Amino acid sequence: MKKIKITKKEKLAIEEIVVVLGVIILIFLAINFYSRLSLISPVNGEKTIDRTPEFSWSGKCNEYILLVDDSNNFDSPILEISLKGNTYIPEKEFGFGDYYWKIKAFDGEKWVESKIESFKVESFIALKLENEEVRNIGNTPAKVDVLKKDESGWSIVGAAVLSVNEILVYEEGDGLYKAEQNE
Amino acid sequence: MDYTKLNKMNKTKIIGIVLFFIVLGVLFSNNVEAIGISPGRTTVNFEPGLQQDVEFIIFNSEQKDMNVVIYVEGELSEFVSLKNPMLEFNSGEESKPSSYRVNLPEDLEPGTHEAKIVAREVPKDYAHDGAFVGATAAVVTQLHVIVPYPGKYAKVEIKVSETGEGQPIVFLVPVSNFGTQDIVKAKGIIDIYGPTNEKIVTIETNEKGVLSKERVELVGSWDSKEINPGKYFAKVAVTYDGEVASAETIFDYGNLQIDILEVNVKDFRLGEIAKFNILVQNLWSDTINDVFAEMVVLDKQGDEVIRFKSASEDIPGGSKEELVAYWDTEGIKADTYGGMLIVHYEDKTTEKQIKTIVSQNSIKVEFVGATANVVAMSAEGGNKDILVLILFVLVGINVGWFVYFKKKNAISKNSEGNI
Repeated sequence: MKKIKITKKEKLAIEEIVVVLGVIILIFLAINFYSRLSLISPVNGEKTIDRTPEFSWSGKCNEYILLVDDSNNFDSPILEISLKGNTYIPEKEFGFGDYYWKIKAFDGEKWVESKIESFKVESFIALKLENEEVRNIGNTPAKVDVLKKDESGWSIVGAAVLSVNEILVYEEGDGLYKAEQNE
Repeated sequence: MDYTKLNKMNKTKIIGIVLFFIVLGVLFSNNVEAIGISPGRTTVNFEPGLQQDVEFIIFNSEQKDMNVVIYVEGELSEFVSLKNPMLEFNSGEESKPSSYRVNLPEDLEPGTHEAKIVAREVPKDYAHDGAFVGATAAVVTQLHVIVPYPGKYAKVEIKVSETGEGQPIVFLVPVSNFGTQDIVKAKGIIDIYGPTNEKIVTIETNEKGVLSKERVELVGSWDSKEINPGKYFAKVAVTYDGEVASAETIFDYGNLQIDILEVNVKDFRLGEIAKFNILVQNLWSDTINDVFAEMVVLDKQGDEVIRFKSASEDIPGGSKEELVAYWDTEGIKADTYGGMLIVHYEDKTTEKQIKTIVSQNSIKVEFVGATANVVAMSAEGGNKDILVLILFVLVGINVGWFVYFKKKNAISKNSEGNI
């Protein structure tokens, strides 16, 4: 059998070629991974106080259908919309609770489906007192009780339901403004 | 000179100035209090003797130093014990988790029972209740314990799902059975009313059974092909084994939108005031108030020549209206100008790119067609092109290496031969 002799320079050249080929393979793998249909956000199991969370996914298809349902069999989706891009912010606010979501994509020949992931939309009750104004800075309408203190303790002297970002003007002085969910 | 007296005077002055600034600081300091809690409600189905830990998060929305006292109120307060009755926040701390334990009794009356876990902001130096003055904020996370009613008892809701344009409107009717017995058949009838309260259509949902303490969703759909965008009212009556439960909702179909139809200027002479009649249409079924147009005129370099607005008008649903705006053309040259016509309404705008041709005796306004979609598409394509380019460059480098080493090899062989 004839023995092939490789010079040092040839060896170096082969090494360089292997490195370049490796980089090419890595780029191909990255492109392939980027083209794969996978869900990005909301992250699986995420709890959010954003009632219109942004949905995003990876994939290189021309047409997608985004489905969101409170049941993982998707028999009555709360959101079902055809899209061209890879992100979507819902127009309607979600109610509070657990949701499942998935993407259907048309790859030019057939429809393929992503895996199913879940997220939870939680209520957020928050008040901000500034410049003699009480503002509902939560994500849901809040019932705000106005309490004043006298000798017998705190007692309710008024109440209002504030929509998100709505304000209640108060008079200067003591007072406790207590907010709770009203939805 | 009496330096002692002078020093005394200076000291008094300095103290006075310092005090003045302290008072100013106190007067103009913006005392903001903000506190949040999540979730706002936790619902638990009653089980005798149930023990459960419930977690919640308190938010320091202003990220400042504050203390929070936590206490329990309401009917079920004796069955709730807190993990931390006080939390301390330092500035920069956005949120802190906490929890409470529910120890339910062996028996409760049917219905919904409640405890309120209150988180109240108090100053850092808070010692005891009533030791501070000023308005304070408190937020509540509710605990709802649901005890089933004897027999069949349904609670219903109605929601409208989000679908694309031209797709049927889908109504979701969740039915929760808070009774001890299963519901065999539940079916909904949905009446839909228009903006002037006229009944438009009645649709039926599918029919389903609901097990005790379970929840199902009934579905009904409405073909939206002939529906105008606008506000609608839906009322559902769910009949379940001879009983009726109802719910209602107001929903929007389509988007609130004003369309710009045409712009014309009549009886114009250069140097005089031009009257722009901007014809717009309200595509929404309800009146849109305070609609006004804004016109931006740009020269060939893209610099703003003028910006002027029309008066505001209320435009009834579905109708067309002219918005009138004026431009004083004194000192303006006869030329073709670029620009933008923007119609403002509610918190929205409709924009059209325009070309304004100004001559001695006329002004003509044309709409220029350009879409953001085209820009977005080319941007996406560009990304792919870069990847392909990188690939070609790498292949090129590879080939280059081959050629380079082959040539170098040949040269070294030749030089070895020459020797």
